[in-house]
Amino acid sequence: MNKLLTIIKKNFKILIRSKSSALIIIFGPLLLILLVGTAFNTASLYDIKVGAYSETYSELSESIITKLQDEQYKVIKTDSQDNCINGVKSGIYHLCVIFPPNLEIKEGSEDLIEIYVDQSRMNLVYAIKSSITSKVSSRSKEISTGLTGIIISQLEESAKSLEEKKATLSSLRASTGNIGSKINSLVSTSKDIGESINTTYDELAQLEELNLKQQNVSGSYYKGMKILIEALKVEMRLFNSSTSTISQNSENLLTDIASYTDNIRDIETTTSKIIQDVNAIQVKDVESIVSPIKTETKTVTAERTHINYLFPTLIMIVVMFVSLLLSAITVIREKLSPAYFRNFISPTGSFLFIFATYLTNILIIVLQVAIVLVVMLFIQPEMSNTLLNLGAAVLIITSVFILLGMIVGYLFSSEETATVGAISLGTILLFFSNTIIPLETLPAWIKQIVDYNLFVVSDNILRALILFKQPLESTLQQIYILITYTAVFIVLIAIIYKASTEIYNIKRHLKGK
Amino acid sequence: MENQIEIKNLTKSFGSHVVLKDVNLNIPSPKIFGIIGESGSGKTTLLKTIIGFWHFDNGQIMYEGRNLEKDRNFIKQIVGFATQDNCVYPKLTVKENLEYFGSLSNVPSGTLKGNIEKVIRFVNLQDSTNKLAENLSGGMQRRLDIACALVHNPKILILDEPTEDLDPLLRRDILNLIRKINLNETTVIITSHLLHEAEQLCDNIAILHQGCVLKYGSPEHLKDSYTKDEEIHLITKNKNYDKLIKLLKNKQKVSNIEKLGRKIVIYTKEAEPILSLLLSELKKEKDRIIQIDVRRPSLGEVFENLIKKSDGVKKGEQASNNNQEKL
Repeated sequence: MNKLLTIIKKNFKILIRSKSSALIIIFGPLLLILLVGTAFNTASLYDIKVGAYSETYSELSESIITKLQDEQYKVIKTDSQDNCINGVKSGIYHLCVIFPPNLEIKEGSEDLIEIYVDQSRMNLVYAIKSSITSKVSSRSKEISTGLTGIIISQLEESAKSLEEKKATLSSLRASTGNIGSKINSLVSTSKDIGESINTTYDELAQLEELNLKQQNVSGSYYKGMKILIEALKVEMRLFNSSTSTISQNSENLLTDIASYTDNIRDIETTTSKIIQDVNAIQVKDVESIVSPIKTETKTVTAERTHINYLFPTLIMIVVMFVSLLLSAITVIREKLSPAYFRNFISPTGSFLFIFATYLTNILIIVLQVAIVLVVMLFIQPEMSNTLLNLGAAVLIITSVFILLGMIVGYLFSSEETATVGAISLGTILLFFSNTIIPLETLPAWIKQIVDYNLFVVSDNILRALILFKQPLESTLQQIYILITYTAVFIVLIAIIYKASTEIYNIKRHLKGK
Repeated sequence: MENQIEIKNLTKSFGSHVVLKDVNLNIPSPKIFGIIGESGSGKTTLLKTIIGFWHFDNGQIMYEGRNLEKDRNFIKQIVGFATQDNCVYPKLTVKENLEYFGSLSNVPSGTLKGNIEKVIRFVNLQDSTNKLAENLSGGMQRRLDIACALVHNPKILILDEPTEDLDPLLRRDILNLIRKINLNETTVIITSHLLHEAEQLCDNIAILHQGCVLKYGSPEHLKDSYTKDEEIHLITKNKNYDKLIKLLKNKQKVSNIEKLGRKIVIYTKEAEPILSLLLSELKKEKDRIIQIDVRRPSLGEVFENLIKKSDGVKKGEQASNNNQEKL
């Protein structure tokens, strides 16, 4: 046990007394966790840039843009549809929303809001798509609620009007009953008149018969005549009275009918208004009411498998780790080689050694990438058009990472620390890229720094060339960043080479070698 | 005798630690020049400074009249250097190592092939041309290292402790090789702490102690500067040395007599008359000579004496400084 503790103690002392080892092996991973933990301790998306285009922005499209615009989303209106879509391809915008000209909710409208997304950013696209769709849906719901509200209020208005006219209808019904009894009375009076007329006919027939017998009848004839005439008079009076009744009733009826006509006109007016109001509702199409804003998501790349989308990133991971490790190990092995001293005292400048190391590494990595690209050509023969551009880009990217790896190699003094250093550096660059977690989850100020991450810049170039078939010119901004890095790294290497060689030689000298 | 390298007032320090102090040396051509000193005396630093590996603080180093500071590349071209670490690539073959270092030294490709064949023969590695350096024995690796230092046909070959860590047979081989190199008109500068070896090999020797050159010159000159006496080392059968001491004590030519264990050592300015006197006395005493040597003082003795003197002077200076401080 005692021996075990002694050995462990010794190991710790050796680790800690070698400053670079201690820094990298003990504090490196802690620093990495701290950095990543601080940066990704969030659940939101930040600084999402949305490109928007419409030939003519309507009130509705503007309202959707307003809805989208908040602290998370920044909407930028573009000059053309192509600029908007290309912005997504080149990574300027996370998505592009194309509004139809004069977008509005109307009957039978086939207008679609097109949302262009970069499907290759798999870990981000679904989050953004869902977020944007929910924002558009929210506006859509507002509109849908508005439309339904109009219909409902219209229905309520109609119900109220009909309620008001309900009394008039009841009065009409009651009045119709009066008219019936009045007509019945008229019928009865008419029947009486008919009977009186029949009686009058009978009495006139009797009177005619008496007239035939007048030459030989005297007193009884006259008597009979007189009775008949009296009877005729009674009938005539009855007839006269019935006619007056009919006349009276008919006048009453005319008055009632005039009153009913007014009521019916009133109802007719109300009904016309209801019909007019209902007709005034612009959107009656069920589909338009339920889902007033229709969106369609389109991808800026041709639909492919996940591996296609991952391809640029895969190349980047290979290029980054191989470049960093290979160059760091090449440099450190050379430094540790017993022959290092002989190189140093030969009549050959330091620049040549540095340049040769760079070329050695780049040849190996370019060869590896070439094999990968040849395989890719078999899978996607259409890639042959972009092969030259891709080759140029890979050359620049590889150069930057090799120079970075060389810096690591010159900084450290043992193969182990240089290896851990290179891997840690690669891991940090990888963590702060879109590969694992979208950068949009980072707070804006960190993201601004991370946008200059070598891996992110290089990945963007490869994605533009491989996925979007963009020309190399479209990635000039990123290429300028890489060229700046290259220049800075060359200067750093010159300084570190001189300083580290001096320090390293002194260390070796002090060690007696 | 022309001085190929002239070192004037050379001072080199690492931080506050002064490694070389005011070193002055003239190295003639084409000789074997040895630098001897204890471990840590500054031998390797001196060599690495004179080839331009270390920048020095003060002084001047001239090669054939050219200043090292100004003509660094020219000087690298005419100097070959082999360290005690075997500065070769273990994963390259003998031939590949030579090709590589030859190219670095600007040897034209046409000449290089011939040079490689020549040095391979010269260091006797013909049978191992295509062997990886890591598969060579210690002695072969050392020879390959020397071959790498020679491949560009330098005028000056600097070897830092070339026989270090080698067994006596390999050491002999390397010493023979160095002599062979020198026969080709190449100036050889070597460092060693093996004084006997340096004495055998070198035409000139500098004694370095704590960064200072205590003395330099030919071994004979160094010994002369120590003493001009010859030493007679005698062992007799009876070991009755008191009579001999008594007899020789008053002789003018005898500077000193010491009894050292089984033998006596007689220091004399002229050995021959003392030897005849000794022989006649031993005959008279019926004693028999077991062993007798007449020699000059060894380089080791000179070295030891110089170091003691230097340390004594320094202690004296230190004491005087301390006294002055006390006063």
